[in-house]
Amino acid sequence: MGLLIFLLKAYMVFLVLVLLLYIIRHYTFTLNRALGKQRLYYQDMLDEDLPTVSVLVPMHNEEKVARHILDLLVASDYPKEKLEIIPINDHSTDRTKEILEEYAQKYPFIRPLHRYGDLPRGKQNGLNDALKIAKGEVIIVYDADYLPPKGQIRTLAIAFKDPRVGAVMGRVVPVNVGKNLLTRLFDIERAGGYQVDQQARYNLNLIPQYGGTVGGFRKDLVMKLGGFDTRILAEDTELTYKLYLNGYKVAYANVAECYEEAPEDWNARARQIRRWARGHNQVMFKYFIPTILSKKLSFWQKVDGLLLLAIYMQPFLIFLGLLDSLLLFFLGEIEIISSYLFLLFMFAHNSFGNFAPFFEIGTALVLDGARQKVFLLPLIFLEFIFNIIYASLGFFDALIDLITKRTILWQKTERFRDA
Amino acid sequence: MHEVILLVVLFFILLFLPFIPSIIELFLKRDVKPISIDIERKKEPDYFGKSFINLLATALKELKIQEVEKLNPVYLKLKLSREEWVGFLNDEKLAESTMDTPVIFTKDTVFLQNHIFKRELVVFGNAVFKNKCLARSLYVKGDCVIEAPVHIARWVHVEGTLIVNSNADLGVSVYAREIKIRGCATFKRAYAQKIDTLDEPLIDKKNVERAINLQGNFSITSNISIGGKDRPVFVDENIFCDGDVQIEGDVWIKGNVFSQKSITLKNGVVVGEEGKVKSVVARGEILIKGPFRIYGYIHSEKRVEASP
Repeated sequence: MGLLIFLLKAYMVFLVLVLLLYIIRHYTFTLNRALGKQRLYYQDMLDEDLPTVSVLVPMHNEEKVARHILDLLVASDYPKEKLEIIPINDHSTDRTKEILEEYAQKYPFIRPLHRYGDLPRGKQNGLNDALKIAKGEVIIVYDADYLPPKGQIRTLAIAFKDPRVGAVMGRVVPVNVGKNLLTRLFDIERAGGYQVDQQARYNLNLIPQYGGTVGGFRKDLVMKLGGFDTRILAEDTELTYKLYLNGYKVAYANVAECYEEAPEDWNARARQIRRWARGHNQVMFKYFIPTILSKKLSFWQKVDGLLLLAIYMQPFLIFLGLLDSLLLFFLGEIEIISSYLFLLFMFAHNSFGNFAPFFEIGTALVLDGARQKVFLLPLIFLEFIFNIIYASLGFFDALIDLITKRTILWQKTERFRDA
Repeated sequence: MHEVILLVVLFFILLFLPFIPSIIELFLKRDVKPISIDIERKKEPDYFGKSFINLLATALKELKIQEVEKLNPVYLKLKLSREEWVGFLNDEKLAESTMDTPVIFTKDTVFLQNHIFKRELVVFGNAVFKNKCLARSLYVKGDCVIEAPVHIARWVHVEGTLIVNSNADLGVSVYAREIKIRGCATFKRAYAQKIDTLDEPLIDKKNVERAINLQGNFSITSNISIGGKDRPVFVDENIFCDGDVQIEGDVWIKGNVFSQKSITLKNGVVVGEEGKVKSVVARGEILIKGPFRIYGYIHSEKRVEASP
C-alpha cells in the first residue's frame, strides 16, 4: 500500500512538472509573438525563376467541394507551364471521378490520379502514389475543402529558394465560423495555434510544424527519405520530424492564409481529434528517442520537439492525474508536499498556469483584430474537457497500433458544405 | 439554513460569472465572420498605383470621360474610395500651395513652386520637380525627374523612368519601369526592371577575368561578408542569411539576397541579370552606397537608403 501511495504521489509531482513545462512554453510563445522580433518569411521575394510545382489534392468522396478548390487552383497566378494539379481520387464512390475528368478535359495541367481496386486507401498511400507521377520539384498539398487564394502557390513555393527549407506551412483559417458553438471554438483555437504558436516557433528557430495542407515540401528530398510511412496517420507531423532530423527546416508563412471547413458536428470533431491524437502519438513513439539523440537539432529544438511530440499525450496524462488525485483524496493522502512555498506555487499555478493557453488564444485574437471573439475564451474550457476524452482515446489507439501492428484505416472528416 | 442557501446561490453565481460574457457573445453573434482573406490576393509591386488609376478610370468612365488629357481645368465630384472632389488642372500655377483634394495635371508639368498635396498627385504626362514638394502619393504617366527635395508619404508609381537627382523620401512603395538614383533616395520597397546609381557599366557588363566563381545557393546562420576589392566575385545563385549581409566591391549576385537582419551593398555590387527579376530583401535596413545596380526588387521592413 505504501508503495502504491508513493507511486501515486510521484506521478502527481511528475505531472505538475510536465504541465509546468507546457505553461512556460505557452507563455514564451505568446510573449514572443506579442512583443518579440518577428522572423521574416520569403513572401517579399520576387523571382522569375520559380520552381516547377505539383499541387496534390487528396480526395475521397469530395463531390461537395471538388469544384470549388479546382476552380481556385485554375485561377492561380502561378505560371501554368510550371504548374500541374494532381487531384488524388482515392476510392470515391460519389461523382468525384466524373468531376475530375471534366476538369482534366478542360485544363491540360490537371492530371487526376484515380485509385481503385486493391490499392490501399488513405492519404499517405495516395500521396506516395502521386509522388511517383508528379513532375514538380516542389509539392504543394491542399485538402479538398480548402479555398486557396490566387497568389498562394507562389507564396509557398518561393520559400524553396532557401536550400535549408525542406517544407513550408501556411495558415489555416476556418470559413464556416458562425455555424454553431463548435465552429466558433474551433475558430479561436485555430487562431491561437497558427497566429501565435506556429509563428513563435518560426521566430525562435524551433520546430514549426508542417500541417499536411496549405503547405508543401521538396519532392526529391521526401522521396529520398522514403516517402510517407503508411502505418502513420499523421503523415504531416512525421514529415516535420524526418526533415529536422535530416538537417532541414520548416518555414512558416503566416501570410499564406487559406480557408478550410471546420467540423460542424461534435461527433465529426471527436473522430478528428481521435485521429489526430492517434497519428501524433504514433509519431511520438517513432521519433521520441531519435529526437533526443539527434546531432542535427539544437538543444532548444530538442526541447520544443519533445514537447510537441508529447502534446497529444498530455490530455491522457491529465486524465490519469485526475484519477490519481481522486484516489489520493479517498485514501486520505492528498497532502503531497506541505509547505507555504508549495501552497504559493499551487496558487500561482492555478492563477497563471491554467491561464496560459487562454492567454495564447486571446493574444492571437487581438493580433487578428477579432476582439469580440475574446469573450468566447472561457468556453474553451468545454473543448478542453472534450479534447481530454478523445485525445486520450487516440493515445490508446496509437498504443494498440504499436503493440499489435494492426492495419490502419484512414477516416475522412465529413464535409458540411452545400455542393 | 438561509445562510446555506445563500452560500449555494453565491457559489453558482460565481461559478457562472466568467461564462456570462461568452454566453452573451454566443447569442448576440457580434463577430461570427472568419478573418478576412482576399481570394484575389497576389503579389503585385505596382498594386497601389494600379488600384488608384483603375478607380480613377472607372469613375471617369461613369462620367463618360475618355481622355483626361483633353479636359479643361475643372473640379469634378468622383467616386474613388469615397465620393470626393478631384481637381483636373493643366498648369501648375492653377494649383494652390496647399491642396486638400486629389489633383490631376492633364499634361507635362514642371513644378516650380513649393507645394503640399495632402492627397494623391497625378500627372498625365512627364513631371519635373524643381522645388520642394510634399504629397501623399504620386502617379506619373510618363517620366519623372526629381531635382529638389520631395517627400512622398505612401506610394510612387511612374510608368516611365524615375530619375532622382536630389534628396527624396519616396515613401513606402516605389514602382517605375526604370529607377535612376543620382541623389539620395529613401523608401521601404522599390520595383523596376533596373534600379541603379550610375549609368556606366558595372561588373555584369564587363568581361571580367580572374573572377572568383561561387556556385550554388548559400544559406548562412550567422553574418556574411563578401568582398570583391582585389578580385571580382560572382555568386551564381541566392544568398540567405540569418545575420547581417555586407557585400562590397565588384560582386555580382545573380540570384536573390535575403537577410533576417540588415544588408549593406557598397562600391559596385550588382544583383540579378538583365531581363530577370531578382530581389534584395531584409528585415532590417538596407544601405546602398556607391555604384550599384539591381534588376528587380528591393524590400526592407525598416528602410532602404540608396545613394551613388
